[in-house]
Amino acid sequence: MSAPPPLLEVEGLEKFFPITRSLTETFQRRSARAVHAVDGVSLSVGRGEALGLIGESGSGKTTFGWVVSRLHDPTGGTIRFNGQDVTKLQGTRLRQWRRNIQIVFQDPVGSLDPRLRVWQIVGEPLRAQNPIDRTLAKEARARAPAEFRVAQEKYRRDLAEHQRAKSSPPEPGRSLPPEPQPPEAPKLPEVPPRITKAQVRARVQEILPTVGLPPDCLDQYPHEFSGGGRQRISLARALIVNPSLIVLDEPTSALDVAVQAQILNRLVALQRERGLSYVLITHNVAAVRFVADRVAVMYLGRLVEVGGVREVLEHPVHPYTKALLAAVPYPDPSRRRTRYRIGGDIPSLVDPKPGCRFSPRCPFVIDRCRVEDPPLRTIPGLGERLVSCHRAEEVQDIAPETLLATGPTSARPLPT
Amino acid sequence: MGRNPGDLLIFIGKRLLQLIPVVLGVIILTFICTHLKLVGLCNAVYPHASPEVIAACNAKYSAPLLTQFVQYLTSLFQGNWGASPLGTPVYPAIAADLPATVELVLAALFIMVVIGIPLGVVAAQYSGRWADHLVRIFYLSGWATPTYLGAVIAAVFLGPALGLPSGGEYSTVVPPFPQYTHMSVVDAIIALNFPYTIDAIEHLILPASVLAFINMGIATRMTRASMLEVLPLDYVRSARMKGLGEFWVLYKHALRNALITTTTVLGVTAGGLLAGTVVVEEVFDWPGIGQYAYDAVGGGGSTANFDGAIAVVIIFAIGVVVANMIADIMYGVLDPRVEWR
Repeated sequence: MSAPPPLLEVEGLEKFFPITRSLTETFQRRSARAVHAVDGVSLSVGRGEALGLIGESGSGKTTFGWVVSRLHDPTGGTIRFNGQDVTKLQGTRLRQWRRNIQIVFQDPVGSLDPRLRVWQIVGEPLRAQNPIDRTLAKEARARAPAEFRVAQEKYRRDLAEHQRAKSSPPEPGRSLPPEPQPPEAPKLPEVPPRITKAQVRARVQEILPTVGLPPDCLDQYPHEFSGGGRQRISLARALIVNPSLIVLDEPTSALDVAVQAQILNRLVALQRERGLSYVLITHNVAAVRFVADRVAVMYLGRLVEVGGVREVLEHPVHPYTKALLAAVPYPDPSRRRTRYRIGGDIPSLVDPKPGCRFSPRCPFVIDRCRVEDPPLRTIPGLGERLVSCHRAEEVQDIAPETLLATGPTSARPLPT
Repeated sequence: MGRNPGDLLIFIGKRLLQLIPVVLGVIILTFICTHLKLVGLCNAVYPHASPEVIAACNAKYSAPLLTQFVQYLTSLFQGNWGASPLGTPVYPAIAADLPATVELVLAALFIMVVIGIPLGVVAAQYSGRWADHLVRIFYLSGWATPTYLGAVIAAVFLGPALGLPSGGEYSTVVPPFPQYTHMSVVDAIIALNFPYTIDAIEHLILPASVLAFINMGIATRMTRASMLEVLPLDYVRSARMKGLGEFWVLYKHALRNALITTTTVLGVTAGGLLAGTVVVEEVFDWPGIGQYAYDAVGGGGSTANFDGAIAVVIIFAIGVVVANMIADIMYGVLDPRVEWR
């Protein structure tokens, strides 16, 4: 028996945003150029696993999170959820599927409708999903008799065939067709009752304590909460449909440090209690270290390194990961001068050139990097780790701090 | 929190109190503008009047301005708003004509809301695409149409083409039921007279549509702009994540928030619609205050009615102020972040 498929499996995911420049393009409804926000990303997230997705601004992390949760339609690639291809889901099926995956957005102010009360915001997914259940159940009920009739027809035909074969003298070398089983009467699915306001309020009241909100704030408006409180409301809204995966799109970056810690603790606790999977999109390496089991590093729409969170953070292999981690402030004033930056400009995401995306800024660049795309591959001796670098084996043991010395032109310390 | 029903009463009460000085200011301004001492004013206003009328008029306007004002204000509050040169008192005429105008303006607002706002949503939803451009062409052509031209085209061509009447409130001059409110549709409904209700609505469609079409742009454009502001917000996306259909995402979450701005602007526009009624009512023979104003300033060869014109100006000004006040109150009610103080 094969292992069950991972909860979320993404293959070669692409999201291009076309740029329309000229009038001809407008009329021909196509544009020659496009922003390659996500450019061939393959990833999987297991059940109960927390994946951290890090990278600098504009690396396509957020777009990836949105495409995976089908807020944007992907340009290419497939998204499989629980083994089911959800890339092409549309209409009611898509809306029904949305209960499996939820997003907590970055902006605690913009992600809550200012005109609705807490119970309406948090309870709305229930009120949205209930009619979908009802519609699908009704459709199934309407289909069932017809399917039953077809099965009955087939049974009668098979039975007649069987009878004829039985009554006629047996031909040599031909066995009797098996006696068919009469079809079972269809079990009609129950149409769930329409959900009432009282039920919604009760469910919301139940869920609020799990995110650390008082249950009596049902009738308050979002503007009466602090940033942390609003983010908790968002989290409650995501949790109420019992999703198996939550995409956390920089959930703590707008909050102060104390509140960040509370929210992160809550996230970890919730994951243990409910067996949730997370995709934590952030540029906060400390948050990733705290929450995530595995980490994926993104650069300009591509994955550069994927692996266990401790391994990647302690022993980065890809030059970009090294540079990214070297840029994380270290809480020791005497080490402040050993912060590094990679030089060069961030290349444009518009129709990127072939070759490694990081090659214009990489201190270890060789000619091959500029022409050939490095695939994401395993490195001998590093287990599950995936790195997309032609020189991974050579550079893997170079510590991030020494980037300074090896940089041909670009890496140099900040002026003091 | 300052959002209890009791607070709302105080909130509205305060707005009403604020209305008093504004209305007083409007009356003073109108009074000063119309009682400036002009040489030969009476002769100009009453060109064909007898010497006695001219003398009475001159006597009235030669008193000191303050005395005149006190006199005018007292009579205003006593319900004596002057009279036309033919002796018809102004107040009853305006009291009978104003409801018809209010009906016309409300009908136009209704059309602006029911057609203009969804058009704005469609334009925002398909922004930059052909649907957006079509909507823009539609409302800009309305905006660019002079009221008189639109009204005449509608009355002369559109009315017969669509089989809609383009004059008066009913097909008969006097309907066979009492007119309590002087609003044609409301009166017919009160009288439970269905044929006349339909008839009244048919008569209302063309003038209200012209008025709405010309002012539609503001509703559509404001809705489109504020929708575009709201649509990229995360709560619209989270509404989609909840599994809501696109209709609910757009009309419940996005539009409800976008409407706060549109409502305010519509309130202000309602005052502007009053101005449009002067021409529209004249063209469609709508017995409202606009037509009264047209006659009062001597339009269409009628005798000028100075007192009437002043009264109409004051009424229009109050209309604008009240519309603004309603917009202000609506804003407070619609946005839960506004405290009722």
